[in-house]
Amino acid sequence: MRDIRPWTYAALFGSLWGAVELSLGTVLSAARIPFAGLLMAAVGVLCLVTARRLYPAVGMSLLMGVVAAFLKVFSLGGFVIGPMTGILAEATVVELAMTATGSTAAGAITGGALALATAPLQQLLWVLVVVGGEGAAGWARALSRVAALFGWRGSATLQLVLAFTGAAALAGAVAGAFSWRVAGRVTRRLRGGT
Amino acid sequence: MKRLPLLTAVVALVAALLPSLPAQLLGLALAGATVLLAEPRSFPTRAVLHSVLLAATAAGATALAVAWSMGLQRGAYVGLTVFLRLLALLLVTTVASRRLDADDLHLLAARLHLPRLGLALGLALNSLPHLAEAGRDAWIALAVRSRRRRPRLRHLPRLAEVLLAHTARIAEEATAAAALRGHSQLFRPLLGATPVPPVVAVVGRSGTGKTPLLLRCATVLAERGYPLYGFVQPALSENGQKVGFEVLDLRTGRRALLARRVGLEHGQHGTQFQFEREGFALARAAVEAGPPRGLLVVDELGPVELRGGGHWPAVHRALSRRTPAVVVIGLRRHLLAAFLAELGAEAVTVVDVGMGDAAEAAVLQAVTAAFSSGVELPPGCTRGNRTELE
Repeated sequence: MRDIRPWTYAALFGSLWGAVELSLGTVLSAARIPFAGLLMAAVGVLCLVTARRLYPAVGMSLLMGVVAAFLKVFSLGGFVIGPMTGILAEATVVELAMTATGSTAAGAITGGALALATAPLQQLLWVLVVVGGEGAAGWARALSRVAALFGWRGSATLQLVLAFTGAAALAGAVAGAFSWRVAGRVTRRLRGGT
Repeated sequence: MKRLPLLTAVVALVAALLPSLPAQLLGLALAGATVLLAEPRSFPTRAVLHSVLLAATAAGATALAVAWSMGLQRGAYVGLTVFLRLLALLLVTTVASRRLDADDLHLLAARLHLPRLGLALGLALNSLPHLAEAGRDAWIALAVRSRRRRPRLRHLPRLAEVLLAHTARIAEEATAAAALRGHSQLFRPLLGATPVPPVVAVVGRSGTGKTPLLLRCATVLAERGYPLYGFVQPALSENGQKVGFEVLDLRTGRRALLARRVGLEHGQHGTQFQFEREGFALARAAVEAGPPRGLLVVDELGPVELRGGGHWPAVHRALSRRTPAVVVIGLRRHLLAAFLAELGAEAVTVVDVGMGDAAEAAVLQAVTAAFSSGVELPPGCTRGNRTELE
């Protein structure tokens, strides 16, 4: 990226994303609001898609993720590995989607779907890292027993995870489409309608 | 963070993640050593107790779940490994959050020979107060507009739109500021060591009359015998609406379609237009066929050219090989600083099209002054040359 504009755009939009993570993200996390992670992921998709539409430079989404994760270091909660890895993972999937599709609406929708779908998978991965394989298997069996008490037999845990991931991906696709639309309005606002 | 605590922290993390009880014990021991080495004077008792409590809670819940499903012995073993692993992770992250700051990361970026990244991170930090202020102002404005204490939920997309647009404007200003200050770590001038002739920049917003002004000036200069070459981009209109642009070769009078309006969804390079090769080919021929030490006119240079695309390759070649005596360019005002930095021009005259009738006189005076200040007309050229402009 020879031009300086990708760096300044990534810095500013990454800063905006990081600022929202620092403020709204911390409040939602502290208040234990359900699905707060998905909501913050959607905000991230909005910032990523808008910046990419304004300046379609390869690598800019990834750089935005680095900037936002850097700012997350100063979160009120301290050095939080989980949200930082989530930010970087989200930036990576959006970067891949937008680069593969040439920064188009299809890339925004695909990137949004992947970004929100990784949120529950990332939490599952974090549980695997902390609890370990055997512990995760034990939890899965325990959840299956609980599900059986309510009459839900079979591979309940996997079905639950897949269903939740699918719903998150659908929500992410909607978020990606909405973000592309907002980005278009931002572009028109900046260029005075010409 | 100093090197020894950093080393013990990394080894502790790796050991804690291994699926082996002795490795996890080692990881916890090293995590404890990291805390002692990083905080030799003030042991973070509260943070450590908080970590122990959190690890014990998670370990206990896991032990119960595994014991219920796989037996008491397995439950106790898994609970112990979870406690050791999680406590080691929490201790290391606690120390990191207390010791790590922006300056450390900035220095790390510099040591890794990533100065652009370091400057971008610094810019991000410095922008936080501006963005916070912009957010507050947008919130208040929306609340006032909706005549409520807080904006309605349906106004949130508009709030996001305003905030995102403001962020982009700040990014443009930062780009111009970095270019003006010659941050060589952020950009490398496109022209390198090629000497740049005096520049006359005609600036104004889109649709304010830059091209008509440049056409009028070109007509006058051609009549006075200046060796004019280059191109302008007159707009194409249908029913009073702009539907595209064409390229007009100032020396030969040839025209070619450059761009057609197709809307943002189908536009190229982030614009509303689809570009035609024949237009770029004519523009290329217009700037490359001129006499050496002539008067080059280029209308217009935009964001696409700033990224190195569009007309820029041809203009770059013309500036480095044909070495015009004076360059007259049309561009939008907010791109002026960035382009001047890219060109590396030292002698610049800026004429705002908003000056009205005085703008034409200013351009003519600037060109005349540049030629009369020691810039010679190319050999073989006489003041009797004329070009067809219509």
